[in-house]
Amino acid sequence: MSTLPITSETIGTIFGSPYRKDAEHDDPSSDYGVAIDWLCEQIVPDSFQISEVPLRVKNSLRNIGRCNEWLFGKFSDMVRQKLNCIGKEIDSLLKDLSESGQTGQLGLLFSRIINLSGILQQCYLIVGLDTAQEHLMERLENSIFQSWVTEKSVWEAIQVVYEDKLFDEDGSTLEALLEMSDLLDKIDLGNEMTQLLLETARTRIKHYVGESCAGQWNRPRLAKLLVWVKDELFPRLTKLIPSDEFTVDCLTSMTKIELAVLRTHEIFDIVIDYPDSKCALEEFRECLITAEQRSKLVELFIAESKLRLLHAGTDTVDIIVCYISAIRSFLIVDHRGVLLDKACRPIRNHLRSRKDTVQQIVNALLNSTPANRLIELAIELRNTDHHAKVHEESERDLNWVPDPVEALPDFRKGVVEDIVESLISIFESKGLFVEEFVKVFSERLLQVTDYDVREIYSDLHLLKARFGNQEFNSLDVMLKDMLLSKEFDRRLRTKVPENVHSSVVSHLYWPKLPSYSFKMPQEIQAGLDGYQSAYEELKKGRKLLLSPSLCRVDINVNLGGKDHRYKVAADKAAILYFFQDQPHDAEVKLAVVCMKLQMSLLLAREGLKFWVKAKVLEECGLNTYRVNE
Amino acid sequence: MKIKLNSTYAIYSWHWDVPEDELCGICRVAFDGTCPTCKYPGDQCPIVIGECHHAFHLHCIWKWLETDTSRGLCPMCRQPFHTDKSMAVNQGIDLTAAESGMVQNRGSAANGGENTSDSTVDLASEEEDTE
Repeated sequence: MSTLPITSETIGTIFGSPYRKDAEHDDPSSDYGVAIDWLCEQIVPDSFQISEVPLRVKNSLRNIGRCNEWLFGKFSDMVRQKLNCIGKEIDSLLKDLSESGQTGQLGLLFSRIINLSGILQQCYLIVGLDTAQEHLMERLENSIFQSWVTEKSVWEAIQVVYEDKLFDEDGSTLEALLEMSDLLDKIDLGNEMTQLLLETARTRIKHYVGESCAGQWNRPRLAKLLVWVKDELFPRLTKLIPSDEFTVDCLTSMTKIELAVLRTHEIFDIVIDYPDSKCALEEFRECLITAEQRSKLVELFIAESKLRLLHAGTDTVDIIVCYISAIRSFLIVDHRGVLLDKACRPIRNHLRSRKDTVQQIVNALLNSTPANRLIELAIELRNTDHHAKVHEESERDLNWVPDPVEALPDFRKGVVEDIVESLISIFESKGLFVEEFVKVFSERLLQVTDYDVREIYSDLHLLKARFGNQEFNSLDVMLKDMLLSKEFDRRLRTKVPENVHSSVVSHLYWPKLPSYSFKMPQEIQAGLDGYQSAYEELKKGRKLLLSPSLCRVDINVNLGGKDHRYKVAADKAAILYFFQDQPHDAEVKLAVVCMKLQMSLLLAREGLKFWVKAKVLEECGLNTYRVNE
Repeated sequence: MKIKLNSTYAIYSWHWDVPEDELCGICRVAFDGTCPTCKYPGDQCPIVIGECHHAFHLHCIWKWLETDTSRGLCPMCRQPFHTDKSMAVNQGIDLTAAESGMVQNRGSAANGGENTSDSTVDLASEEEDTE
C-alpha cells in the first residue's frame, strides 16, 4: 500500500488547499482553527493511526468543549472537502489502473477507504461528537465513499472480481470476497452488492443450466439442478449476502426461470422429440409460471413451426405427426389446452390449405399396419375405452365450467384435447372426411371376394362412434349391398355355375365406378351371363350392369408345363385369353390387342406390361408381344 | 400356354328396369335411390309402374293414394292409377289394398314402408348371419 505515498502536502500542491484557506480566513489563531487544521492534517489515506494529539490542540478542544455545534459544522465541512480532494486523486489513479486492466488494484482503493474510515472514527472521538453528530458524519463519509465505489469503472471492476472469484474453489479467494462484501455493506452499499451478486449468480445459473440441460430431454434434470443450487451455490452466496431476506428460494426460482427460458427456446425440438422428451416437458410445466413466459412460449413455437414445418417442402404426414406431438406435448405443459390451442392454430390453418390432408388422415385412421406412419391415429380410433364425448355446450350442463382466462373466444376444450377430434375439426364440415371414407371403403369393399366384411364393418362402427351415426348413410348402404350380395349368392348357388360370384352394388351410393369396357373372354362371359339371368329372374324388374374392369378372375396359367396361379382383373385375363387363342408363337401388336378386345390403349398397355413383368408374355419388338414359352 | 379359369368374381350394379324417366314423379329422387323415408334402396323401397306408364316409389304413390284428394288418380296424368300387371317390377304388388289402408307387397318389401329403423341394428343382425 505504500507504493504511492500521498500526504496532505501532495494534495495541497496538486489541488490547492481550500480548507486551509478557509481556516485562515476564520482567524487561524482561534481554537477552532487550530483544531481543524490539525485534524485536517491527520486525514490521509495511507495511515491508519492518528498521531498523538499535541498539547495546543488538546487545549483548543478543551476550550471549545464537547458537542460544539460550531466546531461540528467546521469539522464536517473540512472532512467533506478533504475527502472530495482525496477522491479526485484516487479517481485519476484508478482510471490509469483500469486502463491498464489491473482490476486487482481495487484492493488499494478498499484499503484506503478502510484507513480513512478508521481515522475518521478516531477523529470523532477526539472532537467529541455526540451520537447524532457522529451519525451524520458517518452518513456523509459513506456517501462520499459510495460515490467512489459506484463510479462506473470501479463498479465494473468489482463486478468482474465477483464473477471471477465467486465460484472459485479456493478458500482464500472467498476470504477476500468476504472482506469486500463486508466493506461494501459497511459503506451502505449492501443492497447494490446483493443485486450484483444475484446478477452474478443468475449468470452462473444460466451457464450451468445451459451446460447441464440443453438438449437433455429424456432424463429429469430439475431435481439435480436444485440440489446443485442448494448445496453449491447457496452456501457461497449466503456468506456474502448480508440480507436476511435472501433464502435458497430466491435461487430456486431463479433456476426455474432460467430453465424455462432454455426450454422455451428449445420447444420446437422438444415437440419433435416427443415422447422421448416427456421428462423435459413435465419439468417445463413446473418452471412455467408467468403469463409472459407462456405467451413467449407460444410465440416462439409459432415462429419456429412457420420456419421449419409449414412450408411447401414438408410432407403432409410429417406435419400431422408434428401436430400430434404438439398436442401431446403442450397438454403436458398446460393441461387446460389453452397454450395448445394458441400454438397450433397456424399448423391447423396450414393443414386446412393442403389438398391431401383429408386423404392422409382417413388413410391413417383406417390403416392399422405398422407401415402407417400415423398409426397413432388408428390406435386412437380403436381405443374404445374413452371415446371423446364432445358435448355441444348446453345450458343444462350442470358440470359446466368457464373457459380458462387466457383462452381465445372460440376455444373448445374437448376438441383441442382429443387427437382425432382435433384433426377432424381442422375442417369446417365432416363431409370432406365422409367423402374420403366412402372412397376408401369402396376400394376396400371392391377388393373383397369372399363376402367377408367383418373388418370393414368394425371400422365403420368405430368411425360412427367418432363422427356420429348420421354421417355414414352411404357407407351403411354399401355394406348392406355386400351382405345382400352374399345372401343372394347363397340363394343362387343351385342355379349358377359353381365358380361365379359377384357383388351387386346400389350404384347411387357408391363412388363412380370405373367404366372401362372391353370384350370379355367367352369362357368368363358365359359364367357371367348365367349369373346375370339368374339374378334378373330372382329380382323381377331389375337389370344388372357389369363393371368389366372391376371383375376379378382366378386363373391358372400353364406355361412350359408349369402351372402359375394368378388373381387378376378381368381385363388382364382378357389379354391373356386373346394370346391363348392366337396361333403358336404369334407376335401381336399392341394396336391389335386394343382393336380385337375393344380395349382402351391405356388398359391394354397396362395389362401387357403386367404379363411381361410376370414373364408370361415377352416384348419381342416395339409394342409387339408374344407368349414367353 | 393354357389357361384354366378357377373362379370369377364380378361387380355389378343393379338398376330398376324402368323405360323412361329416372326420377320418381313425386319425390323427385332417382328410382335407384330411395323415397325420403327409407334408408336402403332396392327391396326395402321398391317402385311401381302404373298402366299409364308412370313410375313411382311404392311408398310415394301409396301415400298419395291414401290422401282423399287423390281419388285414386295418377298424380301425373290424372288417370285412374292401376299397376301394370305385365311389368315384371309390379309382380306381387297389390296397390288396390292401399286404398283400404293396407299394403301387401311382395316378400321382403313387406316391412319397407315403416322401415326407417336404425341401420346399426339392421346391419348387426345381418352380421350375425354372416358369422
